[in-house]
Amino acid sequence: MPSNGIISSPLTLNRVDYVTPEQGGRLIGVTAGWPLWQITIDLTTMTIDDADEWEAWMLSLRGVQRTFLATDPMRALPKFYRKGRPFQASPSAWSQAIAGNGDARLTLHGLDAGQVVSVNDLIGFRWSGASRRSLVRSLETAVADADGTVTVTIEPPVPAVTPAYATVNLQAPECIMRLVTDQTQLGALGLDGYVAAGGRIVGIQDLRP
Amino acid sequence: MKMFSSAALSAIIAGEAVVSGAVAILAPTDPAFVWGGYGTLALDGYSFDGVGDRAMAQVSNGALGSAAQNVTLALNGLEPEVLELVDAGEYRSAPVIIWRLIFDGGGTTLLDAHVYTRGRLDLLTRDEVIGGSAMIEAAVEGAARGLRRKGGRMRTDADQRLVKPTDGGFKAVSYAAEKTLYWAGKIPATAGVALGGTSAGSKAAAAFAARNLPF
Repeated sequence: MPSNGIISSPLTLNRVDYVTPEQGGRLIGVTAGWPLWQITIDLTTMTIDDADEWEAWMLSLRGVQRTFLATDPMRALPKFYRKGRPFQASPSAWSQAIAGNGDARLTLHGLDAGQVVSVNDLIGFRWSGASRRSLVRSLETAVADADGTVTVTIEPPVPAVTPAYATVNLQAPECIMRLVTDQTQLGALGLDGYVAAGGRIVGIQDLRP
Repeated sequence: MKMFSSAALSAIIAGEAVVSGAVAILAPTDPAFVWGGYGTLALDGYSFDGVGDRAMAQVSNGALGSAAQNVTLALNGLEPEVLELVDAGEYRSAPVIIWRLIFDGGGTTLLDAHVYTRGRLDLLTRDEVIGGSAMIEAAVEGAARGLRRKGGRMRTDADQRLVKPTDGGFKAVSYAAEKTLYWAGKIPATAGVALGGTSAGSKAAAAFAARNLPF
């Protein structure tokens, strides 16, 4: 995926809730199905040369036929290691436990001693030769102990399709997405040699076992 | 009466349940098993393929004593498992079982699974919009319709006497319709408005209400 001209690209967790507000003000609801990651990339004014890369990239996707890898560009590196400090990006093992209150607690083994997992850091899982991926987000900051083991609360819980042998990746964790074609458009070509702002790329996670 | 397990009930009351469904289409040679999540789900001895569909089963409406309603299964996004379903002629009138699944808030633990309806496949409609969505709708007719009944019997005097032979509480009930009760709201003009219908009972109630009108 090209990276030029992005002004914002929030990676959000998309849930479908059926909410039934009662007349007394109480709000109750159920969630239909499992949450999926969604990315909305907004593009700014670009030169035609920069815009050509987006144009070619979009054509290569063939609408919704092909998938692409998306990540949060602000979180390509864990927050604590943005300035180039070395860290272990590939923990040797992971396990998940669901706490009594429903929180998912992810334990990573084989990190560097004292390695920090920060709040909002992305944690990616890969399996089937990295052709299948899932993505979760840390909700708290924690420091690995002397053995390199750390436990953080995550959201969403690791999807059930993620096999136990999946490998964890902390550097530029990505999830597989497909284009939402009816919400995607590129900016209009201006005759002054620039492509106008207003281009928007929307992708939704394609979660497969 | 369909009972939820206590764990599922408490999740629903807390507002943190994830609901989904599973469908088994028991065609003689090539049965199809799909469910609304991701990956494989083992349930009641069947193995279901995940189609990742969020709102699979929908019941349009239903009222006590009215005609039995079909359940419509809508499968969005044509997956290979679903395409098989449409192309096979053997699915005509195949038996269908629909389960309702209730998971905990994280979607990791199955709290309750029970059969929501059993019936037979009726209509299989394929709806494709160019540039839009592609979906398959399968109408499932319930047992009451399959047995040529016009409506599902809800409760009668005979049923009640099976529970308790001396209980005649339903002997005067000939028709169970939807009733609207006014709770602490504006008093309706006549009881007929509140209760509807023109049976002898409601006429008597209307007369009773008219007697109490504040002149």
